[in-house]
Amino acid sequence: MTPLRVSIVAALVSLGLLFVVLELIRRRSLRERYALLWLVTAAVMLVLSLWRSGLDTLAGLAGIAYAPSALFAVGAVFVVVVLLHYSTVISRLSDENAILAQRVALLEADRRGGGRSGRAVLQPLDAEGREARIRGVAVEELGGRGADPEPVARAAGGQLDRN
Amino acid sequence: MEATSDPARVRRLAIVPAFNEAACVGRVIEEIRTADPGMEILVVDDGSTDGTAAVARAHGAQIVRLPFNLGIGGAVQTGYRFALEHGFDLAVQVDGDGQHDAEELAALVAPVLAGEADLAVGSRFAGAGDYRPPFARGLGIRLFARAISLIVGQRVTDTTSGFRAANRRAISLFADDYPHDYPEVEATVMVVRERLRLVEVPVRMRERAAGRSSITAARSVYYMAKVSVALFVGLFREPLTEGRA
Repeated sequence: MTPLRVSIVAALVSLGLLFVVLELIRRRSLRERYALLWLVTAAVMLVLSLWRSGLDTLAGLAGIAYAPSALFAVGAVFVVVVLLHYSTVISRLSDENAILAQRVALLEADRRGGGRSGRAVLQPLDAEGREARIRGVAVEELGGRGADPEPVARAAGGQLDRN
Repeated sequence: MEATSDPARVRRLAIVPAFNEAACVGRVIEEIRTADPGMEILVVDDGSTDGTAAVARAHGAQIVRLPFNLGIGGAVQTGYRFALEHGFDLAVQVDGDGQHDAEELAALVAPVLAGEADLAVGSRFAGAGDYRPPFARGLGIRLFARAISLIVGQRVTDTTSGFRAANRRAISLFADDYPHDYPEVEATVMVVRERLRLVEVPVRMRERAAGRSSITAARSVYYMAKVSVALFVGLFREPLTEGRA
């Protein structure tokens, strides 16, 4: 049988995790989408710490002699799942990041180069884009050819040409 | 592309990926122009901090500047996207570090222009030149060449070559999906899996004029591991043309 103290401490820790996750969602620091796995982790840990005979049964089934170790093992499994999930999220983000960088670079080149290579794909500009284009043209008229190659990067406070 | 079309009217683009190659990129541009004056040149500046883009612009190339370093795969793919969106019929990849000899351009594009191949890869080990890589790298290259040849059922000698000519089909494939990090090996497999016709063209390559190979000793372990995993997993991947939105 799991010692009572272990159960109490484990339940408190699980409750603490549950509270922190919910609070992070409330403050919009954590999206529900990414919080779900944490919520499930906290809930399962809480249930297993309170439902002591259940934990013992589970430990027996898994051949774990010391029941609280089962609690530990379940927690570890959930952490691994969460981490794996995050790895996939990071992979997707970096893919999307690369695509965005490419799009920005291509759009900038299109806008700067104009119709130099003929069949440029013309896309409607939003207000901001139109403004940037006007600004770019104005600078070009003042400064001559290619005077301001990166209006977008500059407008965004991004990197400057270090030439 | 029609095999019968007049080569002079085929819209050709040289994609030159360059990361901090200010010292070399100008010469590369001039050499390409000398070799094929009708070819448009696009330098993809992969987040350089040394004025690569300014040098390229001064030499009259078109420029796409990535806002930060994406690595060779991301840079090259940007070039293919450009080629696709601007309606080029043929795109040639030429490294910005000067190791690809523009004099070999005509030989490289010939099979693509003739409609015999969708992708032509310049190979250092198919006969021309006398390039001898350092031992460890040579071993890695041969190992991959063996593995790739087995996988694609076609003899491939140089799987790490970034000197390539692509027709419209290969351009749109690469624009849609191109491997990251060290892309050449995977790209080779991808091309064959998508049933594009691949040929190797023997070419000479030079020692790099300046700068260093992106593959240092420390990174080569990562390189081997990454490419091996990608190849292995790639075998079980669905072809792009099916089941993709």
